[in-house]
Amino acid sequence: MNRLRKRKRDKVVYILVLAFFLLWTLGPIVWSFSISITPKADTMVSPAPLSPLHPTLQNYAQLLGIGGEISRESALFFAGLKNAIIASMAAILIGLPICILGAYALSRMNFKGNKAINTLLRATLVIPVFSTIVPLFKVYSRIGLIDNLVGLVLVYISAMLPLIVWLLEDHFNGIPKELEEAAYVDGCNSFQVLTRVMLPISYPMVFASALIMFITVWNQYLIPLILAPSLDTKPIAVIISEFVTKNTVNYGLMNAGGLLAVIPPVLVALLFKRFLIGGLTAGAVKG
Amino acid sequence: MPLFIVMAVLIYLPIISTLYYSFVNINLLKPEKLKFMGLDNYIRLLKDQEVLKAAGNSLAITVLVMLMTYLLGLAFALFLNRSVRLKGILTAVVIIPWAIPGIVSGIIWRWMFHPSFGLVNSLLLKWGILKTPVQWFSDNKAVTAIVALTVAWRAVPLVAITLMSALQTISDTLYEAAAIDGCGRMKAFRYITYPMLRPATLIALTTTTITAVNVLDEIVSLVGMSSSNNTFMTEIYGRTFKYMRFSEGSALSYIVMFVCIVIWLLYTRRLTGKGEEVL
Repeated sequence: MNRLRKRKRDKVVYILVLAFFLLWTLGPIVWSFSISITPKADTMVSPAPLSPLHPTLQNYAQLLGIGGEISRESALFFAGLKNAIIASMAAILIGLPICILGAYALSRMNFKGNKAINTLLRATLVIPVFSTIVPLFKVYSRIGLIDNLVGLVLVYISAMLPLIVWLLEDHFNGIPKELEEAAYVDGCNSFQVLTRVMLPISYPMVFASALIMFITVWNQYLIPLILAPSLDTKPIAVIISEFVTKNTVNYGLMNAGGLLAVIPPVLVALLFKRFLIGGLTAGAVKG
Repeated sequence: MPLFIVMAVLIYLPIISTLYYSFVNINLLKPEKLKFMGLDNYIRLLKDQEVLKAAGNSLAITVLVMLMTYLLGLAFALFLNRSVRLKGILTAVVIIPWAIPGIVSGIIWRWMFHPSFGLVNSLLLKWGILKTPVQWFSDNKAVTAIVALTVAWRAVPLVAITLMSALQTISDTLYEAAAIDGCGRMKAFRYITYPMLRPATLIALTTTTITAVNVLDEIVSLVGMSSSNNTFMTEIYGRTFKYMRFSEGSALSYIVMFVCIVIWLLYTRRLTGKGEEVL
């Protein structure tokens, strides 16, 4: 009897936690969505009704430029979207090979200063963006790299390097050396060992690194705020922030824009959840 | 090695230049008039009321974020670990806030606390707890709490999934042995779960702390870069890019960097018992 009651109490506690969990995680997003489908006229009703009185998709249509002429917001939105996609793809394509090579060298080759570089990399993990951005801003403005995608992507890569190299190096360290020795015996050089032996067996970690890079670059705000002043390079996060600071009247549009900007990273995170969690927790779990 | 070139040019060189900037007096209008200031910039900043206020706000935000993130992260990890059937879908739900840009999570939370169109006021009025809507954003303490809440919202997922993965590595036999020895659930948590989670907790909290000290995005979209709720980051941004006082900004970045490194060393020391073998 006592046991049965205990189990029942467990169930109640579980359901309460579940409710709180869903409310905490999804509640704010659902509320934001609810505002985004509220027509402008209704956003003045106070206190706000718990569900929109006249739901409409007009804010989304305006942002996506569906029906009617292309609005200013829509042009801004698509420019930001394009810039964010280009920057995050470029950061992965250029940055990931650099990280892989570096991590492999640090993990397998014994050269002078190996340990020092490792410590330096770890320390870089905790350094705030501001300690590097001011001189970069000065140098960039002198050589004309402000408002330049190449310049921007280079800074993203340098910001991602410490974390990604750490993840990959840690992963390479865990792969037994015998595997590579066998490949060397078969006549591979070290580059072939990397591309034909190490990479194929580490693809989950490499993939996780690419995912982390994509999401982090997509979500960047401070770096592009300083280095990407015009629509040619400005990514979606900065555009959205301008909806807030410069356009404070249309609440619905602001929320619609924010939610649309969230779709790519969230979608990627959900689709590749397993890889992502594996990558994010690899270092911490081993301890 | 491309890695080292990139690191040297884009990280270490700028860091050293920042240190240099922080010791001189840069005047953008008269670039030839560089004056060596020594530690003057630092001394002036450490006496500046605004900087002290920013430090206080940053500290408050950091402490609140850590408390909320740890408690919720741990609670969610234990909860996810117990969910058998729903585990897949719930882990998907838990990581959503992590993938959301700070700017957007600021926007999302802004509408929770908006005085006339916020969910919080709406509910409180409806339930009769409040008679008139609360102006959340006009009270500095409330703003600090809201910023912390927003940052925590985005930080909880990482802590939760890290602790969840760590929980899975704890062998069931430990709990079985404890149960045979007459250990209750609370005791099992105290003597098995808690100590086994310690390393993962420390790593997850280091990341959280550094994030909280460096928070900027959420503040921008919640309240804008106002001076009444300044933090380290808004203060640096304002001084550097609004008032073009590069030297002050640089010196302040160095102070923040120093704080971050101290935090990091404290954590790694506790983690390993000694200073070596960091992370």
